[in-house]
Amino acid sequence: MNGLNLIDICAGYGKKEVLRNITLSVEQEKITAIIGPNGAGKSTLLKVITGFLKPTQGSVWLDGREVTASAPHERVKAGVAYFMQGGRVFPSLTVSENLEMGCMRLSPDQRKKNTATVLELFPNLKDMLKRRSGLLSGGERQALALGMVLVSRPRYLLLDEPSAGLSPRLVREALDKVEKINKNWKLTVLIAEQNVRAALGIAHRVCALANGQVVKETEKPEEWLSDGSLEQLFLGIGQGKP
Amino acid sequence: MLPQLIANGLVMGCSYALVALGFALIYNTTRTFHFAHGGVYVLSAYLLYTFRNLWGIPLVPAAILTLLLIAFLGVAIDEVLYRPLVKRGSSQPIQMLSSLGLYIVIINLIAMFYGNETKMLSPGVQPTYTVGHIILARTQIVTAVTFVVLFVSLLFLLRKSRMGKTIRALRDDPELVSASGINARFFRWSVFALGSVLAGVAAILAGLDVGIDPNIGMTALLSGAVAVIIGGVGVFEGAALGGIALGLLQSLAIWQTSARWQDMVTFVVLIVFLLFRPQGLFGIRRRAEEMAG
Repeated sequence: MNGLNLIDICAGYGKKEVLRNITLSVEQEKITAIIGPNGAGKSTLLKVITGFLKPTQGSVWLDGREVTASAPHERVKAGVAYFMQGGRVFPSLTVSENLEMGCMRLSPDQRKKNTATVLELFPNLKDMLKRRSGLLSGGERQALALGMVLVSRPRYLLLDEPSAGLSPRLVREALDKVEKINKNWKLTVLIAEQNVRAALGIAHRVCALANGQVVKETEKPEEWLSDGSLEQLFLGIGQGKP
Repeated sequence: MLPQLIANGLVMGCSYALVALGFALIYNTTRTFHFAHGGVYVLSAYLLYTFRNLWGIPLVPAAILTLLLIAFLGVAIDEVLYRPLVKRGSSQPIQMLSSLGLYIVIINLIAMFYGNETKMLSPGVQPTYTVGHIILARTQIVTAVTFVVLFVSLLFLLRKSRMGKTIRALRDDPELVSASGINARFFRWSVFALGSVLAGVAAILAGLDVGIDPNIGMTALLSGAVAVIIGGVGVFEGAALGGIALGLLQSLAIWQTSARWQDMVTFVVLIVFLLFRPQGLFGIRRRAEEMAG
């Protein structure tokens, strides 16, 4: 069982169950988008995969190895990178130190090489390496957060709402980067996104979540933009039709 | 007389600064108002008393053994008390009350086993050294030197080492530290161990200088906490300088009044800072976005 697989996952917070019996295979080297209305369980799903939330039932498999009980930092070592909602960075550390945190467990040579690659990808960060990251603008901070997860050269990239709080132009730029990285680095990407049109624009496969369950999947996302599937999912329009 | 009081104040400040550094390290990194730090302080002094005075172990090995045990105790407090509370989502006041409760338990257990009377760790008269008009006891000189060495080492550790950067990152966002592939729990343990060792060193030196009793912990803790506020919460070097400033102020207060007003000076300083400069001497006013992020 290669790649990233979830089998019969149930998870929640306290007594509140958010995910119900989710089984999902994330295809390698492709972009899979998880879409769904607020509270559907998109972020919770990513937390289960990254180990920040332990499922009450089911298992998480990574490259044929069960990682359900592994701590988050162990999953990062196994190649999973997690871009947390809001583009979180360490505000009291400089941009350079933030990037260093992202690849601290690697050898000095590897760190240097990976940092140079990330700075090529986000050239605007080059001029602000010594600046405290708490002073960055929203867009700059988002770029740094993405750089921090990429600097470890992961095999799986999990993105939780990378477009949140960004202007339409910056959303396009951020998702273009994700698409480029997926192609050039052969990276497997799982993206949870509320900006559905933007997500469908780059995804190879889309899973729609509602009430903690996968309600619809497609490998032809572009069709969803025209056939009314999105309205049905988000507004309930068309449900119950013969 | 004034130079002697200044020298005494500086040495007393060094002792406060050691406690403050330990307290600040733990508070700034984990946001835990560690009342039990006072208990760790008292227990360190009594462990040394047990090893050295009761069991006859020489001072240096006894001190090393004490500090090792106290480092372990710091980690144990986090694991047994704070971590379950944090996991359960308990509020800051609940954590503070639990910590205060643990402090009281430690103090009472010590009083039960050792009694309430003052015990001398270093019986007899200490050798003194005279420089001009200033006379300093050997322990005072050791306290000042130890503080300088530990302060510089700690600054180097926090500013230059990978461990220091991780500790600073842990202060900003522990979840993000884990998401960066770093074992955040190990570094949290390190912070509690190191903070406790700093309190232990201060307790051992103060105990050798003036003796110990079960109540020395609260004074040390309050002085340390006030030093952190004077220096600026979130600024490690500020805590040390705040401790020295407090020691000097207390010593100068003795010059003008009497030793029994020392604690009043501590709290007047605390109130003045909270009212007029809550960010402390070296605190940074952060942008609202940073606080939120």
